Amino acid sequence: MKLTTTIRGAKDLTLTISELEAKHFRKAARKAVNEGTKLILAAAKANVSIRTGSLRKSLGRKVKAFKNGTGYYGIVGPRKDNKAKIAQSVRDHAAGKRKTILKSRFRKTIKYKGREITVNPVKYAHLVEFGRRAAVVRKRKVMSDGAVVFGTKIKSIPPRPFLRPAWDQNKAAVEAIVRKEMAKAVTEAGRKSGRGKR
Amino acid sequence: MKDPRLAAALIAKIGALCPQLLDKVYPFDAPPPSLGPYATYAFIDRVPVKSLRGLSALTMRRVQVDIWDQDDERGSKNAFMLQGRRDVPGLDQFCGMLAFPAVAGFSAGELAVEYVECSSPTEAIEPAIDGSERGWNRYSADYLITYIEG
Repeated sequence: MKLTTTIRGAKDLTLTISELEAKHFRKAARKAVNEGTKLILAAAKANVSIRTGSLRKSLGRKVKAFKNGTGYYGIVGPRKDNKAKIAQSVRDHAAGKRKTILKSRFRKTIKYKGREITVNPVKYAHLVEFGRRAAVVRKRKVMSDGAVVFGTKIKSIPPRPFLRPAWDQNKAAVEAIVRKEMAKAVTEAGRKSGRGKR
Repeated sequence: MKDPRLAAALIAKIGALCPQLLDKVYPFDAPPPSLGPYATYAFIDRVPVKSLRGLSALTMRRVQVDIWDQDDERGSKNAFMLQGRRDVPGLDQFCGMLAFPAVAGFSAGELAVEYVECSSPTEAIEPAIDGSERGWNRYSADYLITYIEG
């Protein structure tokens, strides 16, 4: 038995949606990705284990467009320390004039074995997320900053994931946000196109 | 909540898929005594699966499986055997029953697995510069296991 159905206006509807897609949905897609990354970032900050607090502070987000213009994607992770952006002008009393000092936002100087070392979250965030195995260093200078040899054995570090649980816990919520924004965009686009045809 | 059955089932499955890793699967933080290739696992996350009617009986667990080997070729072969390919079934896209041996508080049995998905494909990580000639190659992958926790 063969059943045939005719849907009136389906072709027009498909055409209209394909016409609307580029111009009306772009804004909604960007907004949805932006809102989604906010949720992931908040969860990642709540999950991250704290030693110095630098990694937590450095976590950030950004929304970028694909180069071919097909959509947007969000990035959540540790940010680089751009010193030039937070240059601060201070008065140098000895020289009697103002000078510019560059401050670091995320890098932190901590004391290790009585010596000051700088920790940079961008360089160790992946080790916190995925962990690392124990190793014995053959050449002593490998684990050195040029002046001090820190040791010859590296302990195994178990993973303390913060980004993957953040995504798993909020995946459904992000999908709901995208769905909501897109539904809103379709309604808006339909309203606008209907107004234009009249 | 820890479920020793899933860890035991996972160890058994890895051993069945990669014979070279049989009895060489350890928790991530327990150092392996062997010098040959070995695998480690770490449970990352546990998310209860929701359906339209609310919470379902299913639980989704993300597990990070790392294969460590000093031989790059052998390590990558083991990693791909574990993940599976189109013609060779592996842990990715597995569904069915996962057998587990007797573990603390549980007798041997089977776990009903709804679906296993490799969420981040096997990634080879360059060995760390430790001054040695042959570092340990690492092949890391995440598997999302959706199963009935019971």
